Amino acid sequence: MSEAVLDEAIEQIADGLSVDWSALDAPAPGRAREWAKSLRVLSDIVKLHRDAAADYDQTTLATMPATETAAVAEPDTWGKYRLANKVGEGSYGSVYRAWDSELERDVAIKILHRRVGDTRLRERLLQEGRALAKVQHNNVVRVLGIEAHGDRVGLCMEFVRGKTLADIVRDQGRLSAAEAVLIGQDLCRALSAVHRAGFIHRDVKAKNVMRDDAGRIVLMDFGTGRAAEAQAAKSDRAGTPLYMAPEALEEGQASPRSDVYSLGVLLYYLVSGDYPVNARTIDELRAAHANREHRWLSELRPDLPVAFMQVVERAIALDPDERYETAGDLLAALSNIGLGSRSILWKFGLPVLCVLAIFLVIAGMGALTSASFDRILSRVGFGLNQRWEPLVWGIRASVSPAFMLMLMFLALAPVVVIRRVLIAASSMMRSLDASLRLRLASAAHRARLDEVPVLASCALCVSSFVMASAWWYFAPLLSAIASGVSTAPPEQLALLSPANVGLHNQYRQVFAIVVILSLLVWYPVIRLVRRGQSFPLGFGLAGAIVTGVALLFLQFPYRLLYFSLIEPFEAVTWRDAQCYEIGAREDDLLLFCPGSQPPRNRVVMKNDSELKRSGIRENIFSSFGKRP
Amino acid sequence: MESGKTACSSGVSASALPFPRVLSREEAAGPGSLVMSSDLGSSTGTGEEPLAPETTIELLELAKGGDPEALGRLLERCVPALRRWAHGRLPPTARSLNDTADIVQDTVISAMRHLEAFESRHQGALQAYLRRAVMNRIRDVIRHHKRRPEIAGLSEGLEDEATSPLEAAIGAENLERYETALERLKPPDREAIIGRLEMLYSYDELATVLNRPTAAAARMAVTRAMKRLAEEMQHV
Repeated sequence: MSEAVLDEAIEQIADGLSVDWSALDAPAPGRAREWAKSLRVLSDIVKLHRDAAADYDQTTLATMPATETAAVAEPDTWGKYRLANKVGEGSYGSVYRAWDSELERDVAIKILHRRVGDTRLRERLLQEGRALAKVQHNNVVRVLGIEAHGDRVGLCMEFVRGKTLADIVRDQGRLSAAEAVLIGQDLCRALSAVHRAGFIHRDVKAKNVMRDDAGRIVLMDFGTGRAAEAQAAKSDRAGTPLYMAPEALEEGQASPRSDVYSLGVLLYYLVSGDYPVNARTIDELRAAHANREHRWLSELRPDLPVAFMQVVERAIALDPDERYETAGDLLAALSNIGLGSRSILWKFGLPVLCVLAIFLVIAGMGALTSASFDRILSRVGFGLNQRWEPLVWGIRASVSPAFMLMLMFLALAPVVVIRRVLIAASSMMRSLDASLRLRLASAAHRARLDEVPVLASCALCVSSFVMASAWWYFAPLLSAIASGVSTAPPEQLALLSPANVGLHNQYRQVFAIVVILSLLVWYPVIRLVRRGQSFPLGFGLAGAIVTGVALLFLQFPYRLLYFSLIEPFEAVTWRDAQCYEIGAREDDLLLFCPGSQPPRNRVVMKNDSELKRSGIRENIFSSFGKRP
Repeated sequence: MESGKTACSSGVSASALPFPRVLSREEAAGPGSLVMSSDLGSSTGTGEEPLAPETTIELLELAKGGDPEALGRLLERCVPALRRWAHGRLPPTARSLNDTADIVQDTVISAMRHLEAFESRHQGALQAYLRRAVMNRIRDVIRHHKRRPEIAGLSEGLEDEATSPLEAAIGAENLERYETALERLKPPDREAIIGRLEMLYSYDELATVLNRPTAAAARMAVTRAMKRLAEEMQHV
């Protein structure tokens, strides 16, 4: 008995067909006979079951009441609507295409099954209607109303004439990155509107998005949507697994970020016709998430622009914190892709421009602090400045604020790390974190802090106030610095004495913080702008001025406060008075004599016989001692 | 003949519906689970693609949550195939239509009460679980008939009547060989054989039950399993 004959017989048995036993029996010595015997038993078993089933079907059909076998008659009218055809069905109701005879237009109606008498269901349908009604957006399906006729409740929606994205991918194949970006942008706007209304969609997928005949992208099916506030407290799951963010799948923690994940999967699907995780069952999906199995988009579509792939991959990051925080952020990222419009010049020019700008700012700061140093010492024209000196002073002046900035980031980093570790380690922390953020967001919403003008005004007020406070606190020191040392009263000059170096350091630290703060306060504003809000230029200008002034206060006195560390002036005796040589010009020297009556500056000839050099170099304000 | 029945699983093949929608218990209480079809508003209308019905796993989740609607649908889906199957297994005395229906219905409903403990791993798991429950019940019925001949009256045909039609058809020895060999197989092979030979699933339905990508793959699984079974039967 050949293998082929055996296979054929097995298939015939499995299909309930009659088997040519002679082919099996004829040359059947030894073990082959055993095979034939076993197969006969199997064949009998199949035959028995098939006969019994046929018998059962026959008796069932004959004895069942006619009403049960006939198709359940569908209603053809519902209130003022004439139901045309059923276009969708689920456990709790059906979706019909219907004709509104009063307004003479097509509508889509989701009607609960008659059997479903549960008031909770009605409540849920009402909730969906309310959710949709709150979200007024061109890219979200419009709700027309909720009606009850007889014992059935239905949700009336606009009828969208077109195809779902799933149909489009099925009919036309994979989309290009440019098409996907356009669709993605519309869906980001739709989701932003949904989230702004306080809802989470939770079932963003190709089948729930339609492109109507005019090309409008419409997000639909809010059946699984849930108010975000209710969501924070509840843990449950809804949605389609392949589109569900891991945290939503595991813990039912749906959030705007899990909607972002679903949208990312949708984009992935549009361009690849496939999903980032390949799994057939939920268990397989869970295992894939746990093992961080993931098919990079670049494997399926290596021809796509890298920037597009980066955006999609970030949107579907397994860790919610690595994803775009909001649909607005994703929209900004999609808008920034530019799909190849950026030239190489731009790519390489930008870093060069940045380096140049930093260089210029440092040189400018150096020039500023050097110029103000010369002016305060009243030695303009006597300066000993080399050409590169402003740059050197600029770098020196910038080191400590840069160091401080770094320290602040280093101090912040552990906070961020600890938060992430806690969130990863405990689901309680995770929900606490989520609810905290939600509360913060809703508090911000109540205070209208999610609008750029309000938030920018606040940022401006805070930075101005902080700078004014710092200015007020250091007013004595500032006035000592601003008045020329030649004529200033001695008690003011005492503030510049090296004995008060603590005060000088404090001044620098405080103003460095003021500068960093005046930049940081704009971060939330920038985030709002990246989510699509416009930014009035006036605010930008005002913010730049405040930051610029703070930077000036930080930098201009640097050389005066710290010159002695680098280039202390030589002490000389002139006509028995203790003086310092603070500048030179051709044959003249400029002396600063702290013990003399103002003006304390003297110009003497270099070869003046009454001039005696001591060779000692020190701070010219040493003699003023500690501040009063 | 195959067209009229529904596997105790999604009626859609695994490839057409790769995923059940996961629903929460809260969802079970709402129209949230209403699957708005891809065809909503489509001018092409219905009929291109079967409307995605809820899968068994999904209904199971709902039923576990105490949703009577889902339980009803689950029964609607599982019971007919089980009844047809049980019809061939029950002894003639208990084989009237009503008896078959009652026995299956009662068993399934009582098995469903223990759903909480049932952890569904794949589409076919529930089907196997319920079939086992019905099988045990059928054995009880047969034992019951055999044990009480005096009450039922001394009938000549009693012994025969209390024998399952399967035993009558292939003989006790062969049935024993078949069942023992079946027990020795790995669960997926066993499922493939019972699904095709006894439950008479189409290969499409079987693909869903067995978690195979295509009907062809399901067919191959059945053929391989039958070979192993026939081999095993020779060693019983």
